[in-house]
Amino acid sequence: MELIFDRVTKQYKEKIAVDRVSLSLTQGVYGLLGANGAGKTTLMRLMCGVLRPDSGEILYNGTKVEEEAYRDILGYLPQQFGYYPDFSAMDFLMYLGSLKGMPKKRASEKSRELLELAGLSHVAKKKIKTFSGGMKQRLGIAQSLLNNPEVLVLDEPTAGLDPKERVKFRNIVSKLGNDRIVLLSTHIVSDVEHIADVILLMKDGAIIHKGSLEEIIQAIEGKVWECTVDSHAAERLMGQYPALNVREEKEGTFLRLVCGEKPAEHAVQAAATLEDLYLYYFSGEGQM
Amino acid sequence: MGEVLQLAGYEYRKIFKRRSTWIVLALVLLWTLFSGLGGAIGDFYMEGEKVDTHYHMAKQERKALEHLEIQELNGQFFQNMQETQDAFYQREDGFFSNDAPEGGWAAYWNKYYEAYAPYENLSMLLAMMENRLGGFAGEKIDGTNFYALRERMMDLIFRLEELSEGEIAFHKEENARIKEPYAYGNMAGYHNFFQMQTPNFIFIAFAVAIILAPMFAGEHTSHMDALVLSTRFGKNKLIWAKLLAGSSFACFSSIGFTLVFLLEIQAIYGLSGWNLPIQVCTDGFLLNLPVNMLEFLLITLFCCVLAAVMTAMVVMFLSAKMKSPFGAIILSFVFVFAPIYLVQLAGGSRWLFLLVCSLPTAMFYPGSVAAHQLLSVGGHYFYFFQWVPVAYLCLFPVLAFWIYRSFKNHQLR
Repeated sequence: MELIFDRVTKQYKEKIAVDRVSLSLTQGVYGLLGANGAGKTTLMRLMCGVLRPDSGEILYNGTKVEEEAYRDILGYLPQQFGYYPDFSAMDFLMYLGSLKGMPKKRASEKSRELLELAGLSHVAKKKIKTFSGGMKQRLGIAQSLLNNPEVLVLDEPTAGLDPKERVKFRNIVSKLGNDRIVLLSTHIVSDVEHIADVILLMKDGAIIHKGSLEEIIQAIEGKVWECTVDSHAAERLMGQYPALNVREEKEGTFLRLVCGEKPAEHAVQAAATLEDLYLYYFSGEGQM
Repeated sequence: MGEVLQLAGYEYRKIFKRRSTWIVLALVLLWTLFSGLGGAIGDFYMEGEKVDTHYHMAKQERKALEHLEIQELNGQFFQNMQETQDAFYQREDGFFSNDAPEGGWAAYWNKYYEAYAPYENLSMLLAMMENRLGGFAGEKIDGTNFYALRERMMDLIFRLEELSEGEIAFHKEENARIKEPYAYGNMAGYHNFFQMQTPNFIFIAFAVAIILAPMFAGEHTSHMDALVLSTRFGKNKLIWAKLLAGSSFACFSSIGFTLVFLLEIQAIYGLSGWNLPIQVCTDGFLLNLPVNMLEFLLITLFCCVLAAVMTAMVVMFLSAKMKSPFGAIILSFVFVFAPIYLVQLAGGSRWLFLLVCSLPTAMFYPGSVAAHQLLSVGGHYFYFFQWVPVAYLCLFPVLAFWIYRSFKNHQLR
């Protein structure tokens, strides 16, 4: 089971959305992190065959992603989840079951099972237009699992889910990663932290980091400092180093910074987190 | 194939789940009911006095035509017609007057119309002939010169239409195959059908445009395109299913509304004159096609249904290209409406005329499908209703292929 990106490029007029990305994904959960406009959604669309690369190719076990055989094993939840407002949840899943080539009986059983999993059994016959945002998102997740895909692509799957639903989602996805390739993109760093085996950091169309949480955190390990200083010092330090957190307290301004040496006398070293790394790369400043 | 049919079933579901579909179909149904019943609604007046209702007149005409003593347009028929007309204009005092007769116009009219009803249609045919021939210069039409005068009229028409010698010879041969004297009877139902066929089908074409415009474009506006195109059948069988659903919808709705219309026609005017030559009603009087009413109805209906399906294919093509149902609807309306005006401009050029009259809207006109202008291939001549359906059947796979490629290769933005 291997999905290979070979120098994949996609350009829109003057903007390079995906810049010569080469990757190899095997089974497991991959978390794709990046700021808005980094190219995550474009990469996922290329991976699902709904967008054609300008150069390069994407192959799954030697099969091109444009082919029907690949789409047969693909599950996809787009960033902007579309639906037919007057279809009921059950109708919608049955329709997608047909599109995925599932026999009617199998589609019916699987739909019921997934509606149960998504906590939507009680509204199976209700029209989707009556659903809340979170319910629609859960329906979207359910449809992506209909055909028991070998490759599962989830673009911002937890958008609109409350914390309880997010935890449930994480549990489902982490189990799924045992025997398939799961790629999920999100802005919610904690989702990736908890479930991704491998984290991909994407910036300006390129993958800038790939590795487990421990591996990629190494980039700023030992360089995260916390201190409380007066406002003048805070302003000076924020101008010098990337600030990960700024908070006004009674004693002064609390700062969490990334810097190579101790920034202030009373500064203490802190354990780096994925969020620190994200802010470090995507806050617009990336100097040490 | 089973998968395609199943997906087509879902496409039908999507069509009928939209409120706009029901509104449009209801409007077309209302129009169809009105077009069938409309001619029978209202009253007939003479000199400001209500003398009859259209419904009663239609019933009277039907009864009279279905019980004709003479069932062909021969000398005796013309003589009876003349005598009846003379009786209307003659008054007891010998003079015709616009003053109400004793008993009022209503009683006078009812007495007259009972006798005149069987000849009303024939008088319209004669009026058409007079209009084309520019007056008979004192010639009185009867069974002895009616057919000769009709031939003279057709010669004039052929010259005005600048037909070739080959076409004229063809039409003369066709005319010779029509049995004379013409059989006569109740043609009123067919006449009403042919009269309203064009506006009915134009309405159906508009309905098809509105209902099918979202077929492909709706996937983009509802953001379902990403999901659909990433599924196993999203780039192949789904597209065939949409094409099947769209074209079959146009076909079934055309036939369905036509059946409703025919039921109304049968109820009011009757359809018993199925085996009369089309030349006995105004819609077929100028044609030389040797077919009867039923055959011509089937020919025109076949052309109309095929034209409706062609309209559906064009709408779906625009839908696949335009990514927005609204844009597809606007262009579809132009496509449906434009031939009505283009026909006026195409008179000077034979090829432009053939092209414009082969467009779907033009094929809704009974006169167009059997127009005198023929397509000549290898010394053989073909009517519009013969070569246009073949052209459409050749175009369907071309359009289908374009639609298939457009949707399959759609790139998300």
